[in-house]
Amino acid sequence: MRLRVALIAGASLLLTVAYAQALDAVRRLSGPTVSGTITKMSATEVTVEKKVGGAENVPVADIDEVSYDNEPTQLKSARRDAENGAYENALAAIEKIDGAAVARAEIQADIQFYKAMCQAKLALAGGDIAAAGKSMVDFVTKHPSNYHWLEANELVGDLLVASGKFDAARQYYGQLEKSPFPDYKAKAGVALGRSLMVENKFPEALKQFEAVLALPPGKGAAAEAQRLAATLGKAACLAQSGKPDEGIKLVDEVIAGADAENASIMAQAYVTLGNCYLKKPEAKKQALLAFLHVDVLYPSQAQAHAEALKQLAILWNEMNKPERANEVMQTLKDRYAGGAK
Amino acid sequence: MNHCRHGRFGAMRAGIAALLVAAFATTAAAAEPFQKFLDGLREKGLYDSAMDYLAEMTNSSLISGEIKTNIPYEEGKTLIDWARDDADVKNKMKNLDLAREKLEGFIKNNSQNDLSGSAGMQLGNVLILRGGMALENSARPANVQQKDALLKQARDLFGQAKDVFAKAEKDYEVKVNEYKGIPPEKDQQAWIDRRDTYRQAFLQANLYSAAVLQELAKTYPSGSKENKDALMAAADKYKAIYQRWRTLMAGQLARIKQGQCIQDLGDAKTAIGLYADILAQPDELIEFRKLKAGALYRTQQCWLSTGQNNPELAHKIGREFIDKSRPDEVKQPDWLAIRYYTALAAKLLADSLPDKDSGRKKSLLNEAKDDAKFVSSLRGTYREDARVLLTQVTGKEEAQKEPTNFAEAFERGQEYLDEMQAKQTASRLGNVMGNPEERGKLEKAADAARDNAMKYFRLALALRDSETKLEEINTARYYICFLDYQAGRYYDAAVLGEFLAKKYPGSAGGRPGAKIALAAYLQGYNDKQMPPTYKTYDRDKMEDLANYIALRWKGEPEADEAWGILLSLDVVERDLKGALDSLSKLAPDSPRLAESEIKVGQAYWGAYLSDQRKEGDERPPQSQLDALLKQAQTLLERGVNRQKEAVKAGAAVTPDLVLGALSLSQLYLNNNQSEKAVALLEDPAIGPLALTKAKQTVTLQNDSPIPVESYKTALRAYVESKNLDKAQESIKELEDLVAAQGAQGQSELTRIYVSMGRALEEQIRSLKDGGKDEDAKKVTSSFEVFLDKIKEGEGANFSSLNWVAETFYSLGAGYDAHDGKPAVGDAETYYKKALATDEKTLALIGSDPNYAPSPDAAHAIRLRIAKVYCRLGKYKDAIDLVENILKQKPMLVEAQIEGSRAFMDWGRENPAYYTLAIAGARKGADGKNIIFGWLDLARRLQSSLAGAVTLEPQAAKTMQGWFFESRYWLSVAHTNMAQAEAATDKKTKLLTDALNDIRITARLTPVLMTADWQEWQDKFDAQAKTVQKLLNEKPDGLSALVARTEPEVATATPAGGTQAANVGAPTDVAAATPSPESKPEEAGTNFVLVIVLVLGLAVVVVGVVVFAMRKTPTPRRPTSTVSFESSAKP
Repeated sequence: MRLRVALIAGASLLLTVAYAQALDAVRRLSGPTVSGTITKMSATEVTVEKKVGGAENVPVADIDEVSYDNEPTQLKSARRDAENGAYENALAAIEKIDGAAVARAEIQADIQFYKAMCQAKLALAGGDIAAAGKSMVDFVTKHPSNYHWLEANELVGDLLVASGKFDAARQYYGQLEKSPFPDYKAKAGVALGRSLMVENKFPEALKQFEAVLALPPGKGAAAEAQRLAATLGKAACLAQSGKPDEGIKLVDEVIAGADAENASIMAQAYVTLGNCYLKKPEAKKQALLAFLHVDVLYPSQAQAHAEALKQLAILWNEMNKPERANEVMQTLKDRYAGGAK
Repeated sequence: MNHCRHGRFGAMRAGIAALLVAAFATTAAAAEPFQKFLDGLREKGLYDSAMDYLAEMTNSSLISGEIKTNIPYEEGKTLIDWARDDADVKNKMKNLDLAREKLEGFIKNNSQNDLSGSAGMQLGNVLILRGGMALENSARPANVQQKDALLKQARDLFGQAKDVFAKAEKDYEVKVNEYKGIPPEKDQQAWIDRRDTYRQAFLQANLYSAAVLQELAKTYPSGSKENKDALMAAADKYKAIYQRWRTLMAGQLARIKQGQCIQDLGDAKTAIGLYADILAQPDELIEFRKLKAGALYRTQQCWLSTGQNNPELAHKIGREFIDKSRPDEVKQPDWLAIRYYTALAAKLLADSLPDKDSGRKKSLLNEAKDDAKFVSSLRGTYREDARVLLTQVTGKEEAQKEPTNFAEAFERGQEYLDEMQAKQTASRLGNVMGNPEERGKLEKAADAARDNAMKYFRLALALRDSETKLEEINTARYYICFLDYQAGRYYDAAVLGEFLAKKYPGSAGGRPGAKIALAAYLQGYNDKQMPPTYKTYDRDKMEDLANYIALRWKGEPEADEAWGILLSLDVVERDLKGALDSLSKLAPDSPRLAESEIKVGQAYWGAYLSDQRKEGDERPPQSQLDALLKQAQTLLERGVNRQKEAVKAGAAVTPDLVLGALSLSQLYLNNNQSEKAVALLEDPAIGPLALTKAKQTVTLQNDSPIPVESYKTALRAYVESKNLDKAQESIKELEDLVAAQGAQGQSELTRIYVSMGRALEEQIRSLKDGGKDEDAKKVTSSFEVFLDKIKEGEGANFSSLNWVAETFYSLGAGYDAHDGKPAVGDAETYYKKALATDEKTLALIGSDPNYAPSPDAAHAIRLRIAKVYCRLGKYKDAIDLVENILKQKPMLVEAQIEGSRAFMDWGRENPAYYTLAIAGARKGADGKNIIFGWLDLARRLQSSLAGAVTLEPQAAKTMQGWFFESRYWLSVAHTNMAQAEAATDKKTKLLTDALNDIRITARLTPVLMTADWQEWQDKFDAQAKTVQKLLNEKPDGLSALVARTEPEVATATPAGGTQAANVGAPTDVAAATPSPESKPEEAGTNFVLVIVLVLGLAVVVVGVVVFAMRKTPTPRRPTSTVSFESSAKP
């Protein structure tokens, strides 16, 4: 009998150890999750010491999500909320984390990143750009070896574009371009193209997007996302250059080909489509319906949603529906402090 | 998500199947990869792939001929499984139909095949699934009114299934008996396999046979005799199965089912004993543990029932079972049920303990709290009950926490959705219909529930994660789509509906989403708030969706519905080619075909009537008119005859059919085929007159035009077919019918007579224009004889003389060349007859003031006399007469119009009178014009329309029609003046004014460009083209004129119109010079117009019934009088 109990206890012990070893998890875009202990991290790579099979390096471009052993449950839910675009919820969850109880540096960095990221996303949809920028720059400065570092640079760039500091933005986007990943190079190209659009430099932006599209086609969802984003950028440039029909054709192709559940691309596609239609005076209703897609189907995409709401308010009024316009304005005010930047 | 009844039955079936497989494990392991692969596909729910695989295997050499023979059976089985899992009700039905087809085919071709019996049982399953759907539908709050019918349907289907299984039992029993005893030495294994196959099928038939009785019991009220009988019969059957097969799992399952029936019958004690047989068994086998869990929570139910009242025991057995449960079991439905009843028992037990046992009491309550919390945190049947229990245990209302995940939010949304539907149903029920306050409250509560439902479904989407199933996400989307539509957020609904239809057509929301999107765009199209310029988009989207639906769900009702909607739009937009095209897309056996043919036929008939009224360049060539008429007749005959056949076969007579038959009768009259018209009108099955006389329901609906239009058409038909007695009878019946309306009856009668006159006039013109002078003569002669007979007959009352005069006037108008010269020949003769009749009426009124139904009736007669004077060239007499009327009734709009029209007629002889037609004439004692003229009249009407908030819709519409009429003739007057003008600059100025009259009208009253005012659109369009041609401009008509943003001439006034005094003073002896316009400020101050209906309202086109219901007034009006007085309403 004693022997049996001992065996059970031993087995339990072993189980517990194995469980603890498996708690750091790197969810990959291209394959199964890698579990073990994260032993090394840089801006471009995460090394996981697996229980069996030794160490495995996962390039940042292939990382979908990283979770840590013993991380606060609020961080888990904040991460999920942030991925779903529920940035307010994510921030609320982060606020509940007892920072003093978190000892591990990677987790602390993760908390800081998600906080800054949510602030940035909300700011881009109409919030406080300066404060969000400060938080994100702080992260970039303090954590050059964090796997979020490239993404943080991109977000700083986006915030700088939103505040009209285009040259400074380009420096941050340049970090992505310098990375070893084709997807990130493409990402940088798309971001630069978008910044040029904000500057109303449409021919230059068009060139930028075409350059991205001319890059050797990458593999996987991330590469495809950048290709679609560049196509949408190109469509927007065409519309702004007096060729809305060409733009509409491109966006329609994106919508037809993209996964309907890819909220990020779809929301951007419908905003672009709406903007293309706005360039055609007789197609106001088409524009309205395009923007309405974002409000109805993809409201989690804060920046696109705010932009869509702004246009919807104008269009509902033109359709003699002031009550709908007021409703939309109220949502814009409540959720995005007035509108997209 | 809620488990539906058939879903539960399905689960039970799956359980039976699994047990049978377990029971015959040695024989169930099929060797062929075919069966293994097929079963695997079905198990994974890949039914479409399974069907593809079966199709491929049909011609494959990989499987034997014997297996190939069984393919239809496998297809049927796959389709049934597919239907069971399918959320799309339509697909489910479709697959069940197809399954039945496959299985019946298999049985027919393979009567000796071992599987033919199983195929028969699968047919029984089809019936059970259908019955389950009906049973489930009957429980829905929205179906409360169809509940009985649905229950009956379920009962019938279960009854049929029962027969199927009974036969299977019988057949397999014979087989099983053939395989009794010791296996033969030769082919022993084959013999055993076969025996087991038969036994398995027999057992299956036994269990199904009992289960269907149990389902049947649910179709009766609990405790009723029928319910008890069915449960008892089921219990007996299960008992027999248990007794015979107790060593097999299936026998044990039957024991539980027997217990369940006995428990439902209210005998808890016996049920406990039956469940005990199961609970006493060892529980190592997983499948058996499931059986035991089912028996255990049912035992707990029994112990907790009123008769037993033993929470102690219920708690004990539950606790022990839970404590011994395996981790992977605790969240399974039966385990949750056990935990719930354990918690309930703990609570009841705690409540029963005395205070001295406070320690145990507390412990039990804590236990109850924990268990209730556990159950309430998981989705399942007992979740809500557990929540209630938790509230009871904690002693406080547990604040309902906001959902934190998709499932919770979705479920909350569903709760509100159910509440919304229940409230909506309640608000529609008879007992609150007479209580507006209560109804209002319920509607408000339904709206609040709808908003909450929407909020939580949206939240559910926001809370989705990678674990959330796409089907559930799409269901949430569909609910939002449905709720958006309900809330009037049509474009939001359209976005979601179209998204589901195109991106996820196979989802439960795909098909209804498409329909909602189509309906939503239709709402957008009909939205009067929406600027008309954007309607093209809605139209295009509808067309796009209809095409998509037709392609995606080809040959199904959705496709026909889509085309039906487009067809209706084409009809409204008078796009005849489009309507024909939509019609051609309907399936040949579509139930919508006949009504659609009628609809399009009526559109052609309406187009014919409209076109043949046109004059000059606007009038299409006769050949084109003939083609329209021919097409109208073909379509109407096809549609009416098709519907008639359907009626013969038992279909109900619909208003559309009767109205179609009326249109066809009128068309026959137009074609001088009065006998055909009479035959159709009197047809006992579908004849409008026959149905009206028989007081058939279809003719009795409020505001139905059928009775009146039937008599009107019949009267003409009888007169033209020289059936004068019947004609007289029709007049009498028509008058009786209208008199029943009370005070409004007389004005209605006048309206009817005028519309009949108008139709007659059009008929004569049509015949004459078509070169059928002889036919026209025949028609008029018939009428002449009849009218003279009425006129001279004794006892002719005001109404009949009014009709006679109006009809003579119509006959005159039919022959009138309207060439600007006084009428001659037949026209003159008939006008004079009208005049004589009216003079006779006035004389009778003079001798007996009560002869007229009201004092104002005489004005109507005088106005017709004034019209006749004009046609006889006695313009001054006409104007004098009108002036006299207006001195008594200054605001009588119809007299005002007649006065200006008389000047227009006179203007043809002397263009100077056009000025008076425009600007008014005949000074009153106050120095102002008694006859206002078009310009001032239009302004006053416009002002009244803008300020008259109290106007009833019909009165407002009448006034709007007068406004358009005034503005139209204003433009015509300017045009005629221009044509009489020699000086080019003045001519151009007048023509520009004429064009501005139109443009300003359209700008000031955008309603002109809507379908409601199509007839006036056409008139303004024709007038615009005429003026444009005279100005040597491109004759692009009204739409282009409105679209252009040219500035109006400086003289345009806010109410529209331009200054008119550009030509020389007229020679009217009574009117010195055209008086200046009223000052703008007069309008709306001393002229607050309120309509008082004196005799009738407006001319209504009678030629086609559908037009009669929606057409606008035309320049010709009844000799009734409508006045706007300032005293009637505040």
